[in-house]
Amino acid sequence: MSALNDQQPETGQQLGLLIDLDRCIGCHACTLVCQEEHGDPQGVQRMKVPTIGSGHHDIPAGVYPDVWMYFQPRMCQHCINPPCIESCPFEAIEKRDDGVVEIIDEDCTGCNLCPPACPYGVIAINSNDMLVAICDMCSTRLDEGLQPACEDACPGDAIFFGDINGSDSVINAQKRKLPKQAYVLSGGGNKDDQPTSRYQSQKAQHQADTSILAVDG
Amino acid sequence: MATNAELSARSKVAGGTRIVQTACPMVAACLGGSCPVYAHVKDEKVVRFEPVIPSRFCAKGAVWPERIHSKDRILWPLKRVGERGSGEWERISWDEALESIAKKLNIIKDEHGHQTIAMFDRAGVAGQRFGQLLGTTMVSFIGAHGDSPVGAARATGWRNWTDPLGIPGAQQAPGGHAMEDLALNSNVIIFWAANTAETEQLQMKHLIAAQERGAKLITIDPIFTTTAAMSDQWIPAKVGTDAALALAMIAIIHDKGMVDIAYMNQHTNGPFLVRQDNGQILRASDLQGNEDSSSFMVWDESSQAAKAADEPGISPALMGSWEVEGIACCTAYQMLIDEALTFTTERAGEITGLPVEVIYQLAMDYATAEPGAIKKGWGIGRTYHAHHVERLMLTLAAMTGNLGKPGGGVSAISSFQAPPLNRKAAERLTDTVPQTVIDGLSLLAATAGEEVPELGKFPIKALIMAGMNWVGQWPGQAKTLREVLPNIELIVVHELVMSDAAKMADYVLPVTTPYEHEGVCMPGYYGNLIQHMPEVIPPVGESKSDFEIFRHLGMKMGWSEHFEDLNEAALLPKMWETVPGVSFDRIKEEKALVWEGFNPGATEEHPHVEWAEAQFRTPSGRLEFYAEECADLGDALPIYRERPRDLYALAGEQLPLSLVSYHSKFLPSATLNEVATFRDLIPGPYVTVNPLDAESRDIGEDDIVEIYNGLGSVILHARLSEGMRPGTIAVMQGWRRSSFIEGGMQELVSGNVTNPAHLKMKPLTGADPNAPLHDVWVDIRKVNT
Repeated sequence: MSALNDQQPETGQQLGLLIDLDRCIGCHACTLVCQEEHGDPQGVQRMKVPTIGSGHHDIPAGVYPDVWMYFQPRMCQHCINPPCIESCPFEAIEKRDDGVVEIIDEDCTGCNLCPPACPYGVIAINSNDMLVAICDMCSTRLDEGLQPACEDACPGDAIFFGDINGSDSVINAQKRKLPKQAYVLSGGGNKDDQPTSRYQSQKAQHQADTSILAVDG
Repeated sequence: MATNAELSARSKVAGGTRIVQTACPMVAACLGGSCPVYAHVKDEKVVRFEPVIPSRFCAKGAVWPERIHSKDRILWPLKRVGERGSGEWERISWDEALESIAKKLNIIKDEHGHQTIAMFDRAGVAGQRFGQLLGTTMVSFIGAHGDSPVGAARATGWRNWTDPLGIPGAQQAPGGHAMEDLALNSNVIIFWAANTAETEQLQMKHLIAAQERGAKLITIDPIFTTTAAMSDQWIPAKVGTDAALALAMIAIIHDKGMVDIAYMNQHTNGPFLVRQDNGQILRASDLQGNEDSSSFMVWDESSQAAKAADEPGISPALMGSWEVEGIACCTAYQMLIDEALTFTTERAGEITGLPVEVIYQLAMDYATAEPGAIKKGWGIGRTYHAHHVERLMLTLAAMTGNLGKPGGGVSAISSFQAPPLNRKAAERLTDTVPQTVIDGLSLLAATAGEEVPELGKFPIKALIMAGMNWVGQWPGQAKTLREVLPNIELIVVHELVMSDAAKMADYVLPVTTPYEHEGVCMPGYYGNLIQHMPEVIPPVGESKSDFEIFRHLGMKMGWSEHFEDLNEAALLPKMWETVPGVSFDRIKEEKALVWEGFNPGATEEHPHVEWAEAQFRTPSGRLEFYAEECADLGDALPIYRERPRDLYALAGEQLPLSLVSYHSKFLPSATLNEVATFRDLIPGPYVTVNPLDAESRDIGEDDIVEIYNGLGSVILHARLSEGMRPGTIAVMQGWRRSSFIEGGMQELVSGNVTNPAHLKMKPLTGADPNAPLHDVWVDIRKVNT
């Protein structure tokens, strides 16, 4: 465990997103602004919004009339112990001091060993250069003093950005303002990677499948 | 809103990219509210839209840069060289195109009459002038698209939803609360055939805010939408049975003694005496010695006599029946309750397919909400007998004291006042040929050579479609394509891409997007901003704005004195001269300015509440759920009627399945269906079928199937879902014919069916008859490949 824990940033900072599942309308605005922000070609999704339910777009699980579905924006979880870093033979992935996991484009060879290593299925392959692409928390925008593109665009006000560890951060302020059940992605049950994105909901349907969401804490 | 300093900071860091503030064009189609956007421009191409105001953005806006520079954009005028619809085109010059069109229009005018040339009320200011000079028939599109809220307009007296001969875009919207009001005040919100999460995406957060505050969200919808998924309860009433559900609710609320009698007596025509001999409301003039008074009569309990409703000091009876000078009379409310009491929860349950306890609980939830809101969508109006449902919803709101109250009401969209644009600047010319306006549902009849009341018998010979996709998005597509279009001598379509209408044209004229010419984005729907839309990039290819096309065509027609000096840039400042507190210079300077007149008096703490003063615009000044003009049709009282089936019948047999064509997150009307990015996000088109309906027809997942009825058919893939209501199938609307393997969705919908009650109500409302787009009966079969 100690070797894994070495990945924890010394600053104690962990930038991340809080996603309110009760508010997500599954519109994919985040998917598209993310694509445009990064200049990614069509089809490359660093931010996915799967329908949790039947698995098909906008089609619920269950048998009429007892059905349910919800949408779950999924992007790089910026894990405390990112399995992708271990999978990369070229040291092309690193965890920055602000907690963000980053692909070093110059070092990425496009070997594509990391996508299957990710328990959350959120490493995309750029069809132009075949290098991998993940959520980088919009570093360029952060440098300009802007919010991540997805947070800025979300018409449902479902995405919050901030330091997950910072007690005064937007994320924790929101959690205090509107307390809901907190979740993290399950990612196949491996607890060691410790995904940092936070999800929350006050509805029972989000507890329907614990292989997708796990109660946080 | 970002300051100019922030903007220039953005420009600097973006290096090589120019950033221009403009507006998203999806104002009407997304019902979102005219979102301001930053257009990023690189090498004279719009590469990206970015929100100006956080959280005012959506996927439909995000894909516009792709649309502007789509490889499908039509770049120069095209002339048909093969058979209509063959896709064989020749590139021609603007001069040749306009010359040929003008020549042909003159021939048609001389041979058949100016009335045989039809245009649509979306042609813009220059188009309107062109139509006036030519004397074209103007087609009002709203009813054919199913967007005419006939019943709600009749009950509340809303007028002026559209004005086909007025200034385009200067319209007001009928009746609704600001969603911010529901966020603050509603304790129950019933989405009744409204899919806000998908089709009014920016509004959903307000309704979720209510839910987070503890409000119960209920969705009544035959299919499980995103809104249903986000609600606390989904009530899947069968398509077209909402009136039975509403009547059962009325019966329960009445039976429980939860009726706001004071409101019903003061503000509705409930206490009005209805003559049982002819269904008309008793007037003072019906009685001896009152020949000059047209006052509506009520029964005064104090004097035990019929009195004028406006007489001071009387105590009207809400219920009861009496004989007045030998005329048997009954209050409208009594008639309503007599009707409603026949809808026991058991009977309503049978009709709607809902458990009795669900119906009972729904009525109780709404009646005890204090306050409760009904959020309706356009979908509710898209059945043949929909006017009954809209009138019943308003009656329910009135009965429970929810009308005109914060957190209550029956809201389609938030109502708003349009800026009073300078009609003089774009005024109708004098000495022009009189124009006839026909409603959208009459167009098919008119083009088929049938007699149309307003027009008489002038079979349409030429169609100019600007801002309109008659073939793609209108009902009656099969008849349009097979029987009607072959008789049209000239079809001109202004388009961005090869829409279904453009494919059938003789001349396709390439238009600009709103980013290739200067303009103003009007406030509307939920958006209170007046926004400057500068020319962000030069016109793509040889495209011209609708304004310029009509101006040049007008000059080719020989009307230079009316068009030569008609200048869009000069007209824009003039249009705003009459709007208090607003000038074009200010719009340009501020880029997005708040239109103070949008909802006068509304504030953040007290958002707009509709009918707060009960100032209904009906003849009686009250909410009129009883519509006496429909008495001879049996439609005066809002009632439940079964959906017509014979429109769709196939050789005498009744078709078993209901087809819902639902609006979705991605395809508003027939736009954006060429956007490749959306193809990544939404598979399809497909039809969703319950396995119970599929198995009996030997249909498996992803099989190719044909949906058909007596009108037409469409061939596409099947998707099986146990979440679908058995007996109902659903296809996302907005695809093109070429999206399907064969046929088209609009083939299955009748295009020339008008409910006579809609016509009876029109003089009181101006509302066009509405198309029954959701009343479609079909069957489905596997296509062996």
